[in-house]
Amino acid sequence: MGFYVPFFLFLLTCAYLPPCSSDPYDEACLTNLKQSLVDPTNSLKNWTKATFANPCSGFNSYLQGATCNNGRIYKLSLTNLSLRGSISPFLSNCTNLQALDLSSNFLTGPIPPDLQLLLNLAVLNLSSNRLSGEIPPQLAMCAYLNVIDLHDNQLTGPIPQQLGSLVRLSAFDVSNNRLSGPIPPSLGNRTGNLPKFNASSFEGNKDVYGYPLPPLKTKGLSVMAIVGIGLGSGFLSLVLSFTAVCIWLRVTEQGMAGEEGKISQLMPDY
Amino acid sequence: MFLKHLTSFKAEIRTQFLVMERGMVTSVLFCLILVFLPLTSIYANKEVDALFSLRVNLEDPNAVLESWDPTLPNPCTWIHVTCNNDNSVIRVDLGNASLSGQLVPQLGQLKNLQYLELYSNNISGPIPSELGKLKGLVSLDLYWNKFNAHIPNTLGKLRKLRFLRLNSNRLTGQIPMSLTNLKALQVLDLSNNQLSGPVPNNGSFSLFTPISFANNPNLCGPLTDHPCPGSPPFPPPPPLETLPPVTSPGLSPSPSPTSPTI
Repeated sequence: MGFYVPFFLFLLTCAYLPPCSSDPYDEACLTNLKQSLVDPTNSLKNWTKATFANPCSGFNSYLQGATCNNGRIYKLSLTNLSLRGSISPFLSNCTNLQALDLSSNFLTGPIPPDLQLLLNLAVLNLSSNRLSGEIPPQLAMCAYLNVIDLHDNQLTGPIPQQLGSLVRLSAFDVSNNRLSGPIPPSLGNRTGNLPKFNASSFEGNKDVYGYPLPPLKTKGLSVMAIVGIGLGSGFLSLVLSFTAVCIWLRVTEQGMAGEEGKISQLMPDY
Repeated sequence: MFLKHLTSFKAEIRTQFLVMERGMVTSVLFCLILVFLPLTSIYANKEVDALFSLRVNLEDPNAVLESWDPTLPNPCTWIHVTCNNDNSVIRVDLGNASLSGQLVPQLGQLKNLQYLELYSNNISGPIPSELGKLKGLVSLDLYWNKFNAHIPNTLGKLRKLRFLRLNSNRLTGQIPMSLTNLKALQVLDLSNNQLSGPVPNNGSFSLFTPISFANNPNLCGPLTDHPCPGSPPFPPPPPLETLPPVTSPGLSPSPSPTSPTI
């Protein structure tokens, strides 16, 4: 009971102060995110249901790691907090979110394609986690993305060519994952004034190939190998037949010598 | 006997010298103090003068500026003013204070100002272009007021500016291109004004999305819902595979992923 009194007082004061505003979408976003994340070190201070109802007071936030703008969650920075669990797809309700940084944790599970609803997202950093599954091509719907940083995860599948359509993309890193397939030219070989990404953005993925990565060694034998094997086997057969002839000669010699020995034995000693 | 007089005479001269020396030193010191003291108080007075001019130009029904006493040597004891260790103003915090009236160009004299918080008042008139002189300014919060006229392009000189929030005013004119030079800018809000012309999307503005410019009916360009007159209509978005539609909670229309304006 005592818990609700300060909560109601809190709501009442918010009703009178203009900058204080609650937003049902941000509340749903934060509640679901808190449920999908596991916080063993209790680093998410103030992340309680009461605070989710009113996380912002104008431009200030009561939540650790959250920044507000005009009463809405504008930035979430929960980096290096030993967080486990997964990224809730309902994070997409934070529709004013411009920067999402969940890097350097132990998050598992996929990158939800629902992130495509974060139409104001400019920075996405999910690097250094244990995320799996494929990179959703739907991320290309976040037209204002400047930074996509997904390095050091366990992502599989191809690099979606749709991401090359993001005209504001100036930083792109998918290195050190388990991606496969060709690097789309719209990302690896960008034309015009678009910022170019070099090999370091793509390396550390065994089965990814294409410019700007150096060419893969082809599977199967090269011409030199075939010639080498041919010559080698020819030489080997020559050596083998030579030794076979030698042995045969040695055997017949011994046989003749044996016969000679017999004859010498028949001769009486003087 | 004569020797005795001589030595006492020498001693007298020596003491006279010492007294004269002391006198000279003290008078020189006194002169120096007389010269420099007014200078120090003049320097401090500049900031006192600047802020007091602001007080005179504002209407203050809640008497929040009552402690702003111009007879003091510096404004550091005034409420809502914060100084650094050199007694120079670094913060002015007058948000939500029911103030009206106008700002003054003398605000440009607060050389070390970092935070200018005047949000949520009824202040009208122009944003003084002298604010461009505040080289150390980190946060400029003038939102929820009645400022009119143009955004001064001198604001593009504020190299350390991280937060520029001018939303919910009556600002007109174009968004100065000089603002795209503000490399430290993290938060920009120009929404709810009457700005017109194209929305820049280069430089530091590449991080900003439609919410920074919303509710300015005469702004045009890719971040708005109509192209600028004279430029071609928005090209169709690049073909995406048909993806399963995800129902959105019915908010702002999705912007089309377009190529940058020339």
